[in-house]
Amino acid sequence: MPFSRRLFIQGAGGAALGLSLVRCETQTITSKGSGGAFSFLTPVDRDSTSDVIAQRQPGTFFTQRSGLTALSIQFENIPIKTASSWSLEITGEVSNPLTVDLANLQARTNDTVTILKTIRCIIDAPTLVPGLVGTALWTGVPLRVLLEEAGIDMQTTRRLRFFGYDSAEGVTQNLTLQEVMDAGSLGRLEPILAWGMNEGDIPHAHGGPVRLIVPGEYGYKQMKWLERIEASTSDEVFGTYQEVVGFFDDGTVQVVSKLTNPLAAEPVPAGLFTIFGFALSGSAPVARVQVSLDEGDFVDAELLSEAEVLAEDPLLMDALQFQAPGMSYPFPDVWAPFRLEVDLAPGAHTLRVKAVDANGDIQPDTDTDALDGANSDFRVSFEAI
Amino acid sequence: MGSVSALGYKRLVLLLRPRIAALLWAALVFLQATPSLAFNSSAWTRPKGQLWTLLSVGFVSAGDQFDQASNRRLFNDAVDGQAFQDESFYAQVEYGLIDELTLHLELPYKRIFVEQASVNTAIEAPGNLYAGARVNLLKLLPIETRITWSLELGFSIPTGYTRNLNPSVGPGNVEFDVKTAVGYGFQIIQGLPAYTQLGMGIRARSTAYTFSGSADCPSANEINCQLDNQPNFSDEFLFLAEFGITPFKGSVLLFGKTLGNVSLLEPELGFSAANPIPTRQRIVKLGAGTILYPLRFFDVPYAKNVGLVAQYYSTVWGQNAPATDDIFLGLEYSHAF
Repeated sequence: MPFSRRLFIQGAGGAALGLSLVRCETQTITSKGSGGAFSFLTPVDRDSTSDVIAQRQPGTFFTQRSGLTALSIQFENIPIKTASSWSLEITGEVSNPLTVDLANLQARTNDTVTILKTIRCIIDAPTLVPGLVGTALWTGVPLRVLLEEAGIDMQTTRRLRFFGYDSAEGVTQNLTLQEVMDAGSLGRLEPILAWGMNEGDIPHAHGGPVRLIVPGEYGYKQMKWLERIEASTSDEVFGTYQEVVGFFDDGTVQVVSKLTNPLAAEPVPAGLFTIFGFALSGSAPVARVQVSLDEGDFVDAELLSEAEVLAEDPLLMDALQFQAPGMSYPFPDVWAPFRLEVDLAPGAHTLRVKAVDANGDIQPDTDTDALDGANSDFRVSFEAI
Repeated sequence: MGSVSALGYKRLVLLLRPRIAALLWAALVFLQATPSLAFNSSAWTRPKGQLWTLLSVGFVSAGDQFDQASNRRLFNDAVDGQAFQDESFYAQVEYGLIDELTLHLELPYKRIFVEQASVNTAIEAPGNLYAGARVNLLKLLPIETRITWSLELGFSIPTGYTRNLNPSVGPGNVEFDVKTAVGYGFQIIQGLPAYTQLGMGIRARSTAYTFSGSADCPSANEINCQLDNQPNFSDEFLFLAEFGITPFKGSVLLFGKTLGNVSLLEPELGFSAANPIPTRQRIVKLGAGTILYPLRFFDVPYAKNVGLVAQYYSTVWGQNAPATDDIFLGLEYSHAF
C-alpha cells in the first residue's frame, strides 16, 4: 500500500486517539535503605572541611537548605562571611554593649561545650521527609555567658531579639529571657552560639561561621547568619517566621516518630523483616516507640542502646550529653533509632508508629496543625512480595 | 518554489542552482530535537506536502545545578553523581500545508529519575503536547532571496499528568509561544552548502492548569508530592543561534548551536531538587550535532529519506536550573506527498 497522505492522517489520528485513551502515568519511589545502612547520628556534612568528617560516609537526613524558597530568604544571595569578616553585636538592655568576632568566641575554651542536637523543621510532615530533619554535634559558647559579660539587665529585659544578615530586611527571631538565661528550669541544655559542626567549621549553608543552636526547639528558632542580638524590654513576639508565617512562638519540638524502612510504595520481601526508624521529642527523652501492623495491637519496638549508638559513631563521645553526670541515653532533643522485627505475609500491609516521651507526651492519632509542628502518628502502606 | 514531486528531493535539488540548493538542504534538515523547553522553531518552512518526522530519545542528566546566583553547586546537597536524569522519548512532526505555512506538533513521553538523600523517585508519562504553525514571511513577498524569515505561533498543553508529584513530567500549565527566526543559506565554497539562523521568541507561561491533575498532598514536603500551589511562572525570552554545513552532497549535516531560555523575572521562585520542573530559570546551552543520510543516494523507496540524528548540548550557564548535559539520538524521516 503506498504511503499516502490519507494513510498518514489515519495513522496519526489513531495514534493520538490511542494516547488519549491510555493513562500511563507511573510514579515509583525506592528507598536507598538508608535506615539500616547508614548511621543515624551525626550525618556527614559534605561541605565540612574536617578530615575526620570527610572520610566518613555521606549521611542522609540532613539538609543545608530546603529546595524551596522560604519567605524572602534567598540562600544564594546571603553574603558569605568568613572568620575575619564576621562579627556579632550585643545591644539593648546591656550596660556594656559588645562586639565579638569568631576568634573571641573560640578563645573562650573554658566555656566551650559540644552538644548533640537533632534539628527538625516545624513543617516536616508526619511522613518521612529527607532533608528536613538531621542531627549533628554543635560546638560553641553558651549565649548566657556573653549576655552576662555584656551586663544584661535581668530586670528590664523580656526577650532576646536576633537579627540576621540573610536578606535585605534581615530575618529575625526571638527567645524569652528564661529560654536563654535559665534553660535548666525548662529541662534543657543552654542555647549556644555555635561555631563548630561535627568537629569542623560550620559551612555557610548551615549558617556559618556562627549560628544559634537552641536545644529542644524547632529549626526556625536556630538562627543562621547572626549579626546582632538585642536585649529588649518588649515582651511581644518578634520573629519573621512567627509574624509572617504564623508559627507558634513556642518552638518546643513535639514528640514524633518516623519509619525509614519500609517507605510508602516500596515493596519489601515477605517473611521476617526488620522495620527501622527514629523517634524524637524536644522536651524529654523518648521512652517508648510502639508499632501496629495491619491495625493490630501496638507493640513496643526496641530502642537502640547507647553502646550500639556509640559503636556506630565514636564522635558522639564528644557530646556533652554523653559525659555529663545524670544524663543518660536516650537524650531529649536527640533522635533515638528503633527497630522491630515483624513477620510479613505476602500482600498489602500497613504500619502505624507512635512515640511516647518520658514526660508521658504521646504522638497523637491526628494533628493537622502544622504551625505548631505536625506530629500525628506515622502511617505507611506497602506491599510484601 | 513549487511542490516537491515524487521524483524525490535529491533530484529536485540537482535541478536547481547551487545557492538555492543550499537553502533547500538547510530547510530540509533543521533540527528541533531538543525538548520544547528550548527554542523549537526555525527560519524555514517545509515545502508543500512535505512530512517530516523525528523520533528521538534523550539522555539528559545533571549532577550539578546553577543556583539563583548562577553558582554551580551540587544538584542535591546529599547526593553524589547524576542526581537528575531525564531519559524521555520525543515524537516530532511537521507538515508543509503550503510552501508558506508549516504545521508543527511535538509530544514527549517523559521519563524522569531523581535521586534524593534516602530515596530514588521516578515518573513517566506523556508530557506537554506542543502544536504550532509557522509562516514564512518572505515567501509571501514576490522576491527571491537567500534570506528566509519565519514566524511561529504555538502552544503547549499538559496531557493530563499530575503536576505536583515528585518529580512531575511537566509544570502543568498551558504555555503560548511566539517565535521568529531569520535564516540564510549560502555556500562556503563551491559544493559546500551552509546555513545559519538566528531566532528569538517569547513564551507566555499562563496560570491555566486545567489540563493537568493534582495529587492530594498533605504537606509541602512529602516524599512523593508537593502542595499544589499552581505557581505563576515567569514568561521567558527564548533565543537560538545556529550554523550548519551539509558536505558530501547533503548526505551529512554538521551543525553547532546555542540556545537558551531567560526568565523575564528574576528567578526568585524556588527550584526544587525533588521536582525539577522549570520555574523561573535562565539557561544557555551550547551544542553540536549531526545527521547522516546513509541511504541518500540509493534508489530505495522511503529509505533514502531516513536520517540518523545525534546531538549533544551542555548547559554552560544558568540560574535556578539543572546543569544538564543532553544527548539526543533520533531517527528522522521526511516524505513528500
